[in-house]
Amino acid sequence: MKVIICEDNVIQLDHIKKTIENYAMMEGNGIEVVLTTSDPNEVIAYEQADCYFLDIDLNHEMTGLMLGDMIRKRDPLCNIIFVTTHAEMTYLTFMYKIAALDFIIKDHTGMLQQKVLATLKVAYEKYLQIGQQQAPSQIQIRANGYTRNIAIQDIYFFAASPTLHKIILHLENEHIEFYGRLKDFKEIHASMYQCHKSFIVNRQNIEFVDHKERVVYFKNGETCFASARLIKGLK
Amino acid sequence: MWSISYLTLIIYQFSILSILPLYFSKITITKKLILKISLLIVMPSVVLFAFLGVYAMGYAILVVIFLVYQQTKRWRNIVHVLFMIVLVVMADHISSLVVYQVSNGTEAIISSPLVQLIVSICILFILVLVYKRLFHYFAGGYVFEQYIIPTMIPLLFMTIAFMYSDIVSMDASSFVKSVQHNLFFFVIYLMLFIIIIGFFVYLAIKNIHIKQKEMKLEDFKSYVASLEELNRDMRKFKHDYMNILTSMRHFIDSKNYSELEVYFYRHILQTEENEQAHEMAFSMLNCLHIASLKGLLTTKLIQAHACHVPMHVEVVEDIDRIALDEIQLNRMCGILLDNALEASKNTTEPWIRLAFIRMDGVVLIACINTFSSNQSHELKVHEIFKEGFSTKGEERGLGLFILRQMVDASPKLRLNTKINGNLFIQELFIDEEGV
Repeated sequence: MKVIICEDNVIQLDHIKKTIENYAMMEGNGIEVVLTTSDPNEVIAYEQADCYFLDIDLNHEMTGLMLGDMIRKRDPLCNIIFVTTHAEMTYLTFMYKIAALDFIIKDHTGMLQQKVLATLKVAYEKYLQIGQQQAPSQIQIRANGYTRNIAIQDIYFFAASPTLHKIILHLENEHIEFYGRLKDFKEIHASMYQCHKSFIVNRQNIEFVDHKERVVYFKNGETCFASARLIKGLK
Repeated sequence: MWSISYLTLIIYQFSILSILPLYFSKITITKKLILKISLLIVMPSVVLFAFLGVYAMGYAILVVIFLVYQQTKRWRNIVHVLFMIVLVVMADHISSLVVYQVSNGTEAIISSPLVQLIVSICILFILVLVYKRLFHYFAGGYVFEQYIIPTMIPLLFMTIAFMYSDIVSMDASSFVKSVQHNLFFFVIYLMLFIIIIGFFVYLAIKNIHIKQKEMKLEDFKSYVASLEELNRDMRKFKHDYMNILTSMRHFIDSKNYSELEVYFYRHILQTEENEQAHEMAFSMLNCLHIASLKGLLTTKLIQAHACHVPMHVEVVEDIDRIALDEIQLNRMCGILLDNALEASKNTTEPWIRLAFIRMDGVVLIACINTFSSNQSHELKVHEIFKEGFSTKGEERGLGLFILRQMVDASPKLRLNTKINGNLFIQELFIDEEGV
């Protein structure tokens, strides 16, 4: 796993580098720091790495956020970790925009080393997972500014919005709204079943079906309707 | 004396009276419902018609209204019912006249109900289409729902009463003439009605705009006030700075470094952190260039501060416009934050985090807050959006229900909701225009 560190404070840059290198030497697992710099342009010029440690405030016209955004656009799978003094305030922005793996707050020098290592280990595990084949029973939900892979067994049901081309995907304890046509999700997996004009349910998560009232009960207590004709397919 | 075709005409009238409003109320018509309609409305009405004449209509109207309201619980659907009756009567009248004109005054054809039936269906179809258009045009916002519908219902009732009193007093000997006469009055009446309702809508919308402007101004005022307070704080801090330094001098002079350390960490760093947090919260708003929203957020920041709930607002990149009506935007943000504050207030570890994030073609408003998870019952997302849901008992919790409705009504908005342990996460996506 190739690591790049970009940090404007040379002492801290060195500190993080040494921490990672010491760890890599001890473990011998192929983690390698390929670039340490305080100039974000160098990071962009460098072809590609798997894990980035970036300072948010780079003392450069390019901020850590912009740099992270560029890296993320180039490589959707790499791990980006931010090192900062004031992460407190802009945590969500980095999470949503760059899908940052973690934040390391460098105010407490003693904690820094520990935190860097802990995060590095998480990044390494994720890096290993990428190499392995992805689970086949997953679907991807895409919308402006939002991409999400969801395992089939987590899906409870899809519900169409009454008038507009929007779908709300119901998970156990989460609702995700995106644009699409309901019928595109009918065939994604054998356990999906369209039980109503505006609902596609996942058979795996049905608790029971009330045939008389034509209501489908799910494991989380949620319900949806089934039409008279289509309920027959739900045994 | 009742011919079969006459009977069909009557059955048709009552059926159309019950089916059309159901169609407008977006009630899916099932076999069960059709059975209900024929048993509860059509058959009794036809029987009643034999005894009471047009008064049987009163029964039909009341039952249809009851049925529609029971199925949908929305007042606007009652307006549909009443309007449909007006339209059916008008279609009937017009068709009589048309048939009369075509047949050149021979009244023989008029008494053939089948011809009239077909013409009347065609005319009704056109009228319904026009009505649908008009209704959509007027009934855009929730203004309509709240102010206009309640005034419309009694007015429509009166219209119908007036129409039927006219029909009852119709002179059979000069049938065509009185139909002409009636129709003329109905049209005039309806025009007046539409004009008055239009005027009402206009006034109500204007009134609401004024109120919202006032609210915006209020928000902005509180923003200015908090800026002033911040300014005062800064001045105070500058003033204190000297004092702090002199107090440190005391320790340094006496070379008492261990106590200096304690003093520094416990007192000086502490005050500075507090100061900074407060200042940061407001400075983040600098990147947000929507004045009224800024005002709202300031108000909420102050509110949260008063409830001892730490609240962070993140606006890292400049946001100068969000492709959404400002009033709607503020309303939604208000709901998100009110809800977050309410939920987080009484937890052991309260905090709220709100972020405005610009991404490709979309602005994301993310709101995360803690809430106290009940041990006995794990809260589920689908329970939250139910009308009237609240962890605080009844008559509250309308907010999220309204939010969901607003999102459903707009193709540009998407709302994701998630509960993760004791975190409540809402993500509102607003598409930029032209996407």
